[in-house]
Amino acid sequence: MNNYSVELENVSKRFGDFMAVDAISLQIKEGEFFSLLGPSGCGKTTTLRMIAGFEQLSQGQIYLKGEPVAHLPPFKRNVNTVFQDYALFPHMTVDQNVGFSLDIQNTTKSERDDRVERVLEMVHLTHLKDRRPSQLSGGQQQRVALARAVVNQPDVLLLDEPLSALDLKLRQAMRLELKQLQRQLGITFIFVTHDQEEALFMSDRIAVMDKGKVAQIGSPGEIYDRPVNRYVADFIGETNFLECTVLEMDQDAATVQVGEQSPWRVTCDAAGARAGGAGVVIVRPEKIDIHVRMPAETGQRIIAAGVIRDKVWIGTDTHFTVALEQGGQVRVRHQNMVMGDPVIGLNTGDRVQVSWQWEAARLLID
Amino acid sequence: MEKRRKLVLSALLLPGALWIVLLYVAPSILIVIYSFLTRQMGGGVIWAFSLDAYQKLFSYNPDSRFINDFVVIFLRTFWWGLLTTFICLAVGYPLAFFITRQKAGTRAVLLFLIIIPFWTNFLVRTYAWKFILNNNGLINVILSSLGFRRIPMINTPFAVIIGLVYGALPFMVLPLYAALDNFNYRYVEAAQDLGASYLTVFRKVFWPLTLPGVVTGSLLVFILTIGQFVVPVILGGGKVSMIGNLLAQQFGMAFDWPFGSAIAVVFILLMMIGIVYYIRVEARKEASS
Ligand SMILES: Nc1ncnc2c1ncn2[C@@H]1O[C@H](COP(=O)(O)OP(=O)(O)OP(=O)(O)O)[C@@H](O)[C@H]1O
Ligand SMILES: [Mg+2]
Repeated sequence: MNNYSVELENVSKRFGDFMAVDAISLQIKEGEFFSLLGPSGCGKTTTLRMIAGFEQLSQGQIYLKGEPVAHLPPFKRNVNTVFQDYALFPHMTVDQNVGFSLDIQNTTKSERDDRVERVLEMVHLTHLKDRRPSQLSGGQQQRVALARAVVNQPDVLLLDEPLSALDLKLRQAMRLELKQLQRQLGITFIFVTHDQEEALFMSDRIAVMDKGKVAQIGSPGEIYDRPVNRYVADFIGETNFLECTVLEMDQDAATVQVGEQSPWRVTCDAAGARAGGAGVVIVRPEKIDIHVRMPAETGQRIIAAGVIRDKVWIGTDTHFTVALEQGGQVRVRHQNMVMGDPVIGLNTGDRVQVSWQWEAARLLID
Repeated sequence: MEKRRKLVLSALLLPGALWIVLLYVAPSILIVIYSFLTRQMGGGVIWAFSLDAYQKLFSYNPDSRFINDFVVIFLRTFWWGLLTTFICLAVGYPLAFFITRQKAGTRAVLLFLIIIPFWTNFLVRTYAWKFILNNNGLINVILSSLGFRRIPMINTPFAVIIGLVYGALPFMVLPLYAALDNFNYRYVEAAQDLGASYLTVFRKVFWPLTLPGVVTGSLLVFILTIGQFVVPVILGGGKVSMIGNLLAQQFGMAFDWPFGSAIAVVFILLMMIGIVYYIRVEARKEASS
């Protein structure tokens, strides 16, 4: 039928009157690292639980390797979960926890021990195999949960914010490790997080969710550089929003006016964008340059004049807030690369010019 | 400093310790002493050392089913204790499970229903069973009105077991309810997720994690049941005695205090052996993990 590892077709979940998940469709490829990203309460966990089989669908169908599974109980789906709180069996040792899925099948003792050994090695826990979960640190428990979930080689691994209980240092180390583990195993990962940085760092593709709906699906680059609406642009990274009027529409560009000043050229592929309508221009702070005086060579750049309202120096960067003459304000992230850089000497109240490559600005309609 | 702290600590522990000594240790010592004294006709003891009581308890009687009638009563008591515990567990576990799965309001009502009988004297409640099990009791009246033959139930071991189970069931259900209510269903999901069927989930996760409740409930029920003496009298018609009846008889009608004390001493010893064994098994389990 198809070669998707997991496919959600118009899947909804209703709790009473409340639509927790609203007609979601996703197609996740074999071996893909796929993230569900969104703020608290947007339905990420509910979606994951429906894939695992813990939650009945109100509507729609889920396919695993092309087979419909919505009617199957969790233990008949070749999908394993790493729970947010790990849910390690407290009465079993690390070895027994990890070996659980093998012990309940007819796996021979030698093969069972072999596989447990191998997966424990992979997560560097061989020396702790006789401990109970209560005798492990949070990071170690997280590894046990991971080892337990991959030991019987599921087709798909579901991870519900597995790193959220760890401190920052460990979380960053685990991101890399998790990514490597996924490549090594070749298992499809569906990773739930509300941390956009985490999602951008690890995923092949991301579905950004908003109130039970999918706002956008795409690679981290696509989502960051070409958000489809204000919500996604705002949720992923930091963005400047400038209200504008659309003057003219082209193929994938537009001419817009912010305030009364000369028009800007911006990229645009938003459906519903039309000349005469209102819109919002987004530009990422790191894409904007700040100039002490009018730059001589501008090329294809958009230039605007303004006054510095705020300046924050943070070592690697200097952050400026610039109020534009034509209305609105932008945040600018300036890298402190050159010693004696006159930009770093700028202060609140100084008049400056800001500029960006015209393609860096993007028109959104909603 | 250290010494002072110890002093304060001892002072704090004193009332509790005194309480235990007065109410538990002293009477127990008295019983042990009495069991080695001479019987006084019409009650009380003569302060002269004697092993008569123990001789009587362990003497061989060819007419008896096993060694002598006292040993038979001991064995019967323990057997009924086990049987009652088992039945209470078999009934109480699903019942407690059912209660934990109800909505908060229903749950409160059901728990309340289990506790309500405690507000009435146990003697009265046991008499109520007599009216249910009698030859002209509720069950038999219904049976005969439906055209069936009446079944003699009162004054049989069956009636006694029913009474014992009835009396002990709340003591099984309440600790089980606590254990099952504390159970985190995330573990069930985790096990199912890893491929465990409903039966496997129960066997490998649910049962082991609720076992502490099972042990507590079983110990309570067992200890309570083997000390029973009201039920065999009322529902058993005094035909089949338990240790409790034997004891009551020695101190009451037979006025053989040393013999009654000896029975109590042996009884306590047997229980202590059981409990020490249990603690050692538990300790070994703890150590191996
Ligand atoms: N069993 C339930 N009954 C009623 N409402 C529920 C139930 N489970 C979840 N919800 C609601 O559905 C919505 C989505 O919940 P879900 O747990 O999927 O959010 P989430 O995206 O995982 O959030 P978080 O990041 O906080 O974990 C929430 O508003 C939640 O209150
Ligand atoms: Mg969640």
